[in-house]
Amino acid sequence: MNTIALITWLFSVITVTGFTGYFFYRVLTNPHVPDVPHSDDVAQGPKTFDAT
Amino acid sequence: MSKHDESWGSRVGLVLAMAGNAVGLGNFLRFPVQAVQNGGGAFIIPYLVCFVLMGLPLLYVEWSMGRFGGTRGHHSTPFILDSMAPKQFLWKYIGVFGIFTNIAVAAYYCYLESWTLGYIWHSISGTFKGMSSDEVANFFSGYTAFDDYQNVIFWIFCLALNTYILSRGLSGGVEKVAKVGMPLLIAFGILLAIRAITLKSGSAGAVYDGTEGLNYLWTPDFSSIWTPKVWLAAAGQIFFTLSVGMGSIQCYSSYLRKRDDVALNAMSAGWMNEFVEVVLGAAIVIPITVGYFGIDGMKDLVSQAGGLGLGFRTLPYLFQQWGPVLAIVAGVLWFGLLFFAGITSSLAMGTPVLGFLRDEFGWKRTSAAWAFGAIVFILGLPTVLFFKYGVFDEYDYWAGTVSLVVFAMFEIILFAWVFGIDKGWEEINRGADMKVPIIFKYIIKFVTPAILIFVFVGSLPGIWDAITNKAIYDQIELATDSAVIGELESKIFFVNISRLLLVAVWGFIALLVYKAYAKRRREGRFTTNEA
Repeated sequence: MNTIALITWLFSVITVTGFTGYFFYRVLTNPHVPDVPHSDDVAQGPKTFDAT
Repeated sequence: MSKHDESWGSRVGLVLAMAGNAVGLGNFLRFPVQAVQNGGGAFIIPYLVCFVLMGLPLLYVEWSMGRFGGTRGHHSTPFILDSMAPKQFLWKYIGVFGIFTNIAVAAYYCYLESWTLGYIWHSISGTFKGMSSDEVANFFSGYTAFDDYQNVIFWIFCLALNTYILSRGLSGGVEKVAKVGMPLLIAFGILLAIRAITLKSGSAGAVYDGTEGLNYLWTPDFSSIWTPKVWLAAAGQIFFTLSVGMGSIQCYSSYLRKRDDVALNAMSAGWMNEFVEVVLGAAIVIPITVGYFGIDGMKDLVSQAGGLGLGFRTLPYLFQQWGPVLAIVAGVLWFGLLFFAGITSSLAMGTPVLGFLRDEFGWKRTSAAWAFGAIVFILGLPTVLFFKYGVFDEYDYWAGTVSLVVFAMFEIILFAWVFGIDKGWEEINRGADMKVPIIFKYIIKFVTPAILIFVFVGSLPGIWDAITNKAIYDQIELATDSAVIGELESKIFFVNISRLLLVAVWGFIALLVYKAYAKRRREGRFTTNEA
């Protein structure tokens, strides 16, 4: 591989892998498992009101 | 009204499912070909710029739109969009694209997905053993041309599998598949990439080093960076790789709670897709092909058959050069990773349809899932039966290309200009586990809509050429053989019929949306943007 191709490739691989790893690590370490489905703020259907 | 009991089981599962939605066959077959055709290493510059200016903003917008609609009880785009501008009746019909695209794309995508299953079977059973490269290529042509009906069996099995998983629900079906499929896909990709990069000339019949392919792919041709065509190609690739403009991201995120994060989740899923595409996708097909055919041979193959051709016509032959055991292993890894890439995407296409049927017509999940399977089967039949007449490509162009751009253009205008960027920005940042740079507020308001309008306007000449069947008529003009002319005229017939069919599907969904809206009015359930 020529030097410039190697640099471009490594730059792309390191950048993309770095961002991917960083954000996924933050997701893994902050799991926020939903306890109850739609527990606090989802109605059993669309928000409704009386049109009249 | 159905009682919605769906939710994500875990945050990791949600991110993997979203990443799986984005990661598709294009990550391995389309990206490397686009890079080869558009300046090699220099392509990554417009590609990453478009990712930041168009991809990430659209991810933020779609994730937050979905959560906004979901907290108001909507799980498909017609009424998610309607809830953002309830006084303007048109948006729910723009939202029709978010269901239409998923149905129409699933109709041909499941067929494509079934090829990967078929090829896993043929890799294991040694079908390609001893075949020449032409024989392997011809096998693919025969496979898609109904030589022995095997393709239909795998297609129906694939449809049934998708339907069954969808019927198991989000956490019980889709999420479980993503949690298994995505890690396997990445593991398979890493193994194949290592093999491709370490391929040495003289070993396993290779003529060149695999790194020659990387060399070609990553040596920047900086002259191409100033070409508008390259920027259009980069924008297009970012668009399709992230699965934005489909309505599936909104649907997945509509099962979040009001204060669940969307900012970090969107970044994580988006970058994971980029990892699969840039790091793995670029390191498999091109290096292996160059290892055996050289740069010129690879370029010829790309221009003749594109990425799909490399994946299904060329690689099975090249794997045979690695010896009987490695050929089976490589075949299973390659088509296995393509299968996981495919199924995690096709499941995402089914979810909005299920959400719509359950929200608006009170269908049970299992019934809605089988209805989706039946619709995809009926709509997919023409792509299977009349593949050689270009029906498959026609679906791909109108549903998998044009519709995405149209829908994304309208949704960003709705979000930034109708709903209002201030409210939109508040939505993106609500419950966010990371600080979204303020510059994205202005990018979403000005830059992303401008890019999308540019992409749409730039594609108008191509759309006109497609409508008028210019490419086929050009071929007819050049043809001298009456049999070829007859074949091309048949192609025009099937292409026109498939377009009418797609328009009819769009119209039927719009009619269902109208019926659903009328039902809501009768029941006194009016859409509102108040949570």
